[in-house]
Amino acid sequence: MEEQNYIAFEEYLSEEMSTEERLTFEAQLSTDESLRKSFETYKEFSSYLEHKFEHEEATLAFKENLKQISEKHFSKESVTETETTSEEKTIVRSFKPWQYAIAASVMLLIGMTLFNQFSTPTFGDYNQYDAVSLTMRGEGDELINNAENAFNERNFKDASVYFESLTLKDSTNTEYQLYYAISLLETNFFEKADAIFETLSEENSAFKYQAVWHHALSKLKQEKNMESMELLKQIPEDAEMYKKAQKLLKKLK
Amino acid sequence: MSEKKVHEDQKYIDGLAKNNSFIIQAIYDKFVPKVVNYIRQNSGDHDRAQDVVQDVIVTIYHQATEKDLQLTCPFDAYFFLLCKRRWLNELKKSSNKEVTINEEIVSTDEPVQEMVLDTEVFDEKQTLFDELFKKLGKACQELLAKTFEIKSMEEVAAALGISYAYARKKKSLCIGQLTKMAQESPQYLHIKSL
Repeated sequence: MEEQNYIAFEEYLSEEMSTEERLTFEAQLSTDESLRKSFETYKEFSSYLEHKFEHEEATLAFKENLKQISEKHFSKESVTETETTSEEKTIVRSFKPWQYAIAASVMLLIGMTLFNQFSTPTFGDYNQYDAVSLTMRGEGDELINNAENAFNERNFKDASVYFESLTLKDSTNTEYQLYYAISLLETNFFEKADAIFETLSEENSAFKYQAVWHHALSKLKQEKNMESMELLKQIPEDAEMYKKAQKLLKKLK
Repeated sequence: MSEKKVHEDQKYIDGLAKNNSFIIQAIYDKFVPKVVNYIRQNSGDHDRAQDVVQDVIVTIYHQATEKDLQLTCPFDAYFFLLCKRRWLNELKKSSNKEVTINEEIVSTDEPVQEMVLDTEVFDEKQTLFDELFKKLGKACQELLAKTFEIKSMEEVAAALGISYAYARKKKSLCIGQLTKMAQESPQYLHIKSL
């Protein structure tokens, strides 16, 4: 009996009842108090679960953001707190000679990094990738997971193997091809990588200009700067990586 | 509730629901210092205050996103009273320690108390439901998680390798189990009586 009730609750809530069934059910609810209470609880739980799972990611993001703001706020507050309590005893700080030495070397380091920014660009300045996220929610394909993890951990040797199998399984997925080619590029299989980049940039895929950009980086890694520049010029203004491309172009000139 | 006028401070609630950093920051700047002072004057410290504030904000977030929380009183009073009561509750729980409460006389008018009670009931229910869900068998947990993530029951059935009819029936029975567990829980009856 109980089981039948729960099944009816679900059918009612998901609007799968016919008008007639619905009316009978509603009539039952209005006369049977324990059924109504049970239905209310069922409904509450249903809404709780819906929210819990649908907002799982958003909730995590919110908590993370909140934690950061909170931490910043409270660390600032504890600083002002100690400042006010130690107001009377002003601390005079004197630098010791070795502290000057440290300060000097830090300055030197900063200087060097600044200088490096103006020197010739290398592949290593550009091969930072956003984390790949291929798994659709709820989809638990192991191969996709492995590929994603290997790539995100910058284990490109494994990533290239995983992405190769993925491209074989689903040859129409241009996203797999793009990541396969990047993995190849990272492991110095330039010829194969460049060939894939080329096909991707000829097709009208969503990753067309991504492919051109990475193709240019590939040429940069191979120290074929002229070819790299030619590719960079193909990236139009409305493409996502236009700015990056223009900056790199300037540096290469 | 619906006939009551929504307070202009609803912007804080909406901002939390949208994870708007600017609004969260504003809440910390404007309303949190008062809470911290109160907790520190009443047997608490910095770290405890930080936790209480964070917990209360998460609760408001949940109520805002799940129940479309409508604020009918100033945010300041609502937020302060929530934090204060949560802190006093914590003190009560660990009352083997000596507790000093410097109770200032705050006149809290009815709309504020009503709003606060509403949020507290929501929070208690949320906590209870979390606990009950964890008590559910693994198979039910998995099925429900899939059901609400994927939405389409056909796809759920396919993902779990069961038939559509069975998946649907299972879903009702799993939520049914939770319903029964809740109804048998004294806490749930207590919440319902509030």
